[in-house]
Amino acid sequence: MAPIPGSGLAKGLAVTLRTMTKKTVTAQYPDVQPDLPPRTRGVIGLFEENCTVCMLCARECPDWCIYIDSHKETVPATTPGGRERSRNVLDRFAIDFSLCMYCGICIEVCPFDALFWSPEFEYAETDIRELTHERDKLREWMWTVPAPPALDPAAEEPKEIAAARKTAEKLAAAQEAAKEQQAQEAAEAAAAADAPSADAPSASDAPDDGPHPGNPAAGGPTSGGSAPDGPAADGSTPGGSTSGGSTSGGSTSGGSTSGGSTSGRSGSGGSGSGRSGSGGSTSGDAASGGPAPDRPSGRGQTGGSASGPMGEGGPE
Amino acid sequence: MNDALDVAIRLLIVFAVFMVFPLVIGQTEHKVMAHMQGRLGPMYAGGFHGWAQLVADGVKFVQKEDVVPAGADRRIFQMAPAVALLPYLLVVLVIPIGPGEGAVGQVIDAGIFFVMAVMGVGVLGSLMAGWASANKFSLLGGLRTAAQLLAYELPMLLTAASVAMAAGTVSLTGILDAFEWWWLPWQIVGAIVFFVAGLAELQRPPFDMPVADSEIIFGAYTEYTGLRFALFLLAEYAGIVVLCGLTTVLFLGGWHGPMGADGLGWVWTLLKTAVLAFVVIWLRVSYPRMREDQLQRLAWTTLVPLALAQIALTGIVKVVI
Amino acid sequence: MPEPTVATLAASYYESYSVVGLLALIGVLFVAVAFGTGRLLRPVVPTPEKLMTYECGVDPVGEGWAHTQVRYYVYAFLYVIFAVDSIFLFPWATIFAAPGYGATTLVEMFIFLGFLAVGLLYAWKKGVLTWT
Repeated sequence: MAPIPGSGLAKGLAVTLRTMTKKTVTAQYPDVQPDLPPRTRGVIGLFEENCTVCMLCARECPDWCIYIDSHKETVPATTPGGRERSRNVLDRFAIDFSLCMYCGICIEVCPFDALFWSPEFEYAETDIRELTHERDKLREWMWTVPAPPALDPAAEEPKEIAAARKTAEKLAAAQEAAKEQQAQEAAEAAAAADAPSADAPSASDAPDDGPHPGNPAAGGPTSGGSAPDGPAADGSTPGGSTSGGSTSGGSTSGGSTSGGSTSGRSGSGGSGSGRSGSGGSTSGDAASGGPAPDRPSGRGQTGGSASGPMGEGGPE
Repeated sequence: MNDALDVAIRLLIVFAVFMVFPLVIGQTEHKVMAHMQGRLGPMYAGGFHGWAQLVADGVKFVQKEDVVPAGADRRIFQMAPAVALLPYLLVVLVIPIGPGEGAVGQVIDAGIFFVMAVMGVGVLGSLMAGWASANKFSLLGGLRTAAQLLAYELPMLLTAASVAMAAGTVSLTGILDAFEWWWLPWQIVGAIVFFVAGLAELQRPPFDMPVADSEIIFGAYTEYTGLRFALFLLAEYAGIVVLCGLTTVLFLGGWHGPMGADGLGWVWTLLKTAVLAFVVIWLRVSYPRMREDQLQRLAWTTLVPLALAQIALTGIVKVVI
Repeated sequence: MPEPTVATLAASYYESYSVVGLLALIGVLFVAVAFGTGRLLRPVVPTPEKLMTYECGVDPVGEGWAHTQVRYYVYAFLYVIFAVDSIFLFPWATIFAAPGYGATTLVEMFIFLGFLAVGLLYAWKKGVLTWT
């Protein structure tokens, strides 16, 4: 059946009229912030404490827009007669966002999870030189990094959380065992002699990083920042231990460690010794924790602090 | 002296209508077109849903530099917008909005005849613009405009004549006085022809080929900027007001309607005009434009014969009844 | 209603058109004021580039007024014919239905229109109305 002449015209009119009556989906941007999806790539934030200046990000960046300067410092040996350790200290870390193409390779490639995506996008400048963000600005972006979006309900537990959980369980088990042992000892002591052993109370605070007594480097005024964390183990925050380098880095990491160390305490307990350089785990920890050999805690705490701003993905 | 005051007030009102109504229609077009396309239209100027957008545009245009191309015919170039705009002002004067002699700016006995003649002068404005611009696009656009406006003037004339026949007078107030409800179906063909031809006179889509952006830059108005450009656009919107008003008066019965004769006539006139203006905007949003030769073919082979047929029908019915 | 005298007719005629003239004057004044305001408010910085003829951004070729085919003159001719026809139509329209004129007048006008319609048909058949 041939279409009625003019029916096409009428249909056209009907379409426009219908569209007019529907509500528009326009979001009026400056008055209303856009609804950004999770993992939106807006700007890159740097968590210095995790950075070991391995330079992988600068190397892998296709645009060569990451500028890193560092120098080596020696850390005195922890054990007498031991070798002096050297560590990289970050001097300058800058990302030139006028070059950055937001590919995310630097974030993917960083082995220590020092770089993070943030959904902030309103950082336009009038001078192109202001688009090179230095360390302080990159740290500012860290506070805008959201918690990682939840995994699908049936997904496998992320390795960091798995490792943290396992260490926590191990720690709990160790504590249990220790308590039992103490109780036993106490019972024996009480039964055997009248003098209570003085060991008991101090032993129970053990569960932080093992080598807390032995940190000559730890001292430092910055450890004061984390002092309120009770068992002074956290005084060993390497924030304090960076003698030369970044004072700012030190103090801020001290600050963030306080946050971190709450989770760190439980998490790092097991890996206490194992915190060699790899700040590793975003959510708290020691992926490398377990089997790592004993290291002077100079570096130890950085890992713990990493979980600070990152929400508490960690071993809750 | 009362007379002079009366005349002065009328002129003032006519002028105010001429200034305000096109802006209202323009703002409506912004918003309606936007919503028909799934967006919002102006939201910022003036705070509440951008009602002052066209006022802001006016202010913007007034302070733009007046560029007259080096090779252009200066005086003609500068006068063209005024020649395109003023005829519509004169037509607004004679459109009645209510019953009785007081409801029109000035009663002109030549009514529709006067209106058609004056609207024909508007074509000159575009021709002047096209010719004086010293620009090939302008020239071509101006010629196309002229051809289109000429061609579509005819169906308008013929259908208007049909209404004059039905009423027995060319005066607009007289036509409204003689209006009967059964004129609507009687003159429906004429109404459609008049409306379509009027759209083409105004160069509104789908008849905007001579001034379309992607076709010929902006036709005769290519070299215009700032205030002169704004006056051409004002002329287009004033033309919409005039076209809708005329269609209402001639074919839809103007102030006729429930309680129209008792004082609410102006409401009916304005309502019908507003609905027609909405249709004009609606057509703009919905239809692609016609090619120049399709345009001409539509005029000469469809509209003119239809108008002649309408005249024949009107004549026969009038004589027989 | 009493037939108005020539004098009253003439008076009202002139009166109405004088109002029209007045309005036209107001219009001209408005345009003048608008342009005057513009002149006070706008900058005047003519540069040769600005004053060049617009030709899609490239340098203009040739003179300003190109060799254009005025194929539209045919439409102008046809329009003139029909416009003159319409001018005769209007006064006839006002009185043809009055008593005493009847069907004869109608037929006469139809013959007149018929001639013109035949002219249009001729033009159509000759291909004048199709685009070349």
